[in-house]
Amino acid sequence: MRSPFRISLAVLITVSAAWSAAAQAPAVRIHTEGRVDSRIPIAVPPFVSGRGAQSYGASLAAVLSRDLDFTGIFTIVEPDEYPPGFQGLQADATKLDFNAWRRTPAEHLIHAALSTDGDMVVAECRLFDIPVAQQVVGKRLRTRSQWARLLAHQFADETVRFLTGVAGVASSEIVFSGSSEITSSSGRRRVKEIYIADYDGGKVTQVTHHGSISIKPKFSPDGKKIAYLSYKDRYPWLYVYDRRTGASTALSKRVGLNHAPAWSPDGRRIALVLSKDANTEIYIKNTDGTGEQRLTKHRASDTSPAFSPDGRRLVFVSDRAGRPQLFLMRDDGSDVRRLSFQGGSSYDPAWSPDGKQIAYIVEKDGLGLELWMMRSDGTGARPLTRSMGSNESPTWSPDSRHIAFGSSRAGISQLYTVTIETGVVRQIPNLSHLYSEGPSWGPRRN
Amino acid sequence: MKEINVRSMGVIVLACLMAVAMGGCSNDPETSINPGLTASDPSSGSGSEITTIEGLPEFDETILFTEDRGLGTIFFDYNSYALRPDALETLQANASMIKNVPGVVIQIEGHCDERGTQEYNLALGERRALATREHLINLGISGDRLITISYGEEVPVATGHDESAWSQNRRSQFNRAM
Repeated sequence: MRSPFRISLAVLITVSAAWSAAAQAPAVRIHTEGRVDSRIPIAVPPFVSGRGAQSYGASLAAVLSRDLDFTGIFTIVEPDEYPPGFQGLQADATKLDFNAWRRTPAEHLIHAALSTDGDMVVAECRLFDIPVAQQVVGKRLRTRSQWARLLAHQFADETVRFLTGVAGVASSEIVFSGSSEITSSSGRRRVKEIYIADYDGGKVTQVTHHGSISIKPKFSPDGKKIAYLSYKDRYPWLYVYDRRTGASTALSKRVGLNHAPAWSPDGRRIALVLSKDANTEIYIKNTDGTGEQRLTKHRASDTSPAFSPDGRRLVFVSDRAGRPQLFLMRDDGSDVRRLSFQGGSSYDPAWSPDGKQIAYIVEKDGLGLELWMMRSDGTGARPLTRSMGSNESPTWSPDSRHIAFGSSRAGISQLYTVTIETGVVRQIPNLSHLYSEGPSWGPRRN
Repeated sequence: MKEINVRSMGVIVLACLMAVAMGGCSNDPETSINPGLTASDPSSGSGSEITTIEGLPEFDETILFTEDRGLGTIFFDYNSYALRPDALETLQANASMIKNVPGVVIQIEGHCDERGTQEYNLALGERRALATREHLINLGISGDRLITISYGEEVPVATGHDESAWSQNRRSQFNRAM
C-alpha cells in the first residue's frame, strides 16, 4: 500500500532531520517549492459520522484542526477553498476526488469516519497526500465515548509524527491549580484546587476537593500521579494524587515547608524543598517515601529544583550570590555552579525534555516577570515574552517545541503557551472560568 | 473581652500568672474557665471570708492574637528576609508578651507580596518566618513554642498592585498554633 510513497517518505525524513538540526524556522517543503509560507496546507473536513456518532463529526474535526494549527507546522485550508460543490466526505475513502482537491491549496487531507460500538467510539483516520493521490497514514482508534476528543488528538499526533518524524503533543494533558470562590458556613472564601485538562483546555476535570489551598501540581513522568502542595491539613505538606485510585496520600509532612516537588525522569525519586533544618534546602527522596537525603548545604535559600532529562543533574534557584539566580548541581549535591547571569532575579527553572534548553523566569527591577529561555549550558539567554504582566511557572511540552506558563497579562491569572520556533503566544482556551496558575505539562496518551 | 484596654493587659497577665500558679488558665479559648481568682479581704480581719474580685475579666490569651493589642506584625523589604529596625522593635515587644504567657505555642506566618513567582515566594515566606523565629529565640523564647508556616503570596492583606499594598503584604504575622 505504501510502496509508491517510499521515495517521497525518504525525502520527508531527510527534511525533518535537517529541520531538527536547525531547530529554528522550519523549512518543510514537500511538494511546492515555490510556496512562500513554509507551513503545510492541510484540509480537515467534518468527519464522516455513522449511526450514533453524528454528534462528534464536526466537533472532532474542529479539535483536530486546532491541534494541527497549534503546532505551527500546518496551515488549515478553509472550507471556502474546498473543491466547488464539495458535499462532505464520503464514507468510502477510495472515492476521494484527488483531481478536484489538487485544484485547492491543500497538499494533505484528513479523512476520518466515526462509528460507535456500544459505549465506544471508533475512528478510522487516514492522512492523504493529495499531489501523489495516496494514503500515507491510516489508524483505527477506539475509546470510550466520554474520551472522544482523545481520538482527534491522537490522530493529530500521528499526522505530525509522519510529517516531521516526532509525534505531536495533542494527546497530552495539563495539570494546574484553579481558584474559585466558595460559600460555606464561614462565608465566602477563595479556594484553590487541582484540575486536569487536555492540553488545549478541553475536558477539564477537578482532581482535588480539599476546600483549601492546593497549588503547584507536577505530573509524574508517566502521567499517572500528581505531586502537589496543599494546606488541607493546615500545614504546607506535599501530597501525591494517584489517578487510578483517586486517593491523595502525604509524601512529605516535615515540620515547616514541604514544597516544590520535582519528579526524576524515571519517576522513582522526587526532589523537594524542606525547611525542617531551619533553612529552605533541597532534598531528594524515593517516591515510596524512603531514602530522604539533603542535597544543598548553604545558609542561603535554595528552592525550585528541576531534573535534567538524564536525571543526573538538577537546576535550582539560590540567593547565595545575592539575588535569586539559577544554579546547577549533580543529583548528589556536588559540583554546584552558577548558570544564569541576567540582572534582577531568576526563578522557576524547567529543563526541556530534549535536554537542550532551560526555561525560566526573569524579574528585572520595576518590570514584570518574563519568560526566558537559555541553552542548558547557560548560553543564548533570551526572552520569550514581553508583556507587563506576571509570567511564571513554565513547563515544557513533551516534544520540547512549546512552553506553557501562567500569566496575569489579562488582569487575572490564566494559562498560556508559547511556541518556540514561531514565538506565537496563545491563551489556553476554555479555562477562563477559573483563575488558573502553575501548570505542569504531562505526557502523551497512547 | 472588648472592654479590656491596653493598660489592663499587665493586670490580666498577672491575673493569669496567678491563675496558673493556682492550677487554672486553660489554653483553650472555648473552654476558658474563670481563673477563679479569690482572695481574702485583708481589711476584714477575717481569714474565712472569701470574695470574688470584681472588674477583672477572665484572661484569654487570644488577646495575643488580636489586631490592635496582640503580637505586632512585622514587615520586610522587597525580596528580603532581613529584619528591619522597626521589625526588631516590634519583636522586642512581642517577645515580652510571649514570655508572659508560658505554654502558648505561637505560629509565625511568613507572607510575600505578589511579585516574584508563586513557587519562590513560598520559600521566601518560610525564610521570613524562620528569621523571625530565630530572633525570638535570641530574645529568650523557647524554640519549642515557635513554629513557622509559609503562605507565600497566597494570603495577602492588601489587594492592590502597587507598593502601598505590597509593603503591607511582605510580613510575618503571629497566630495561635493549633
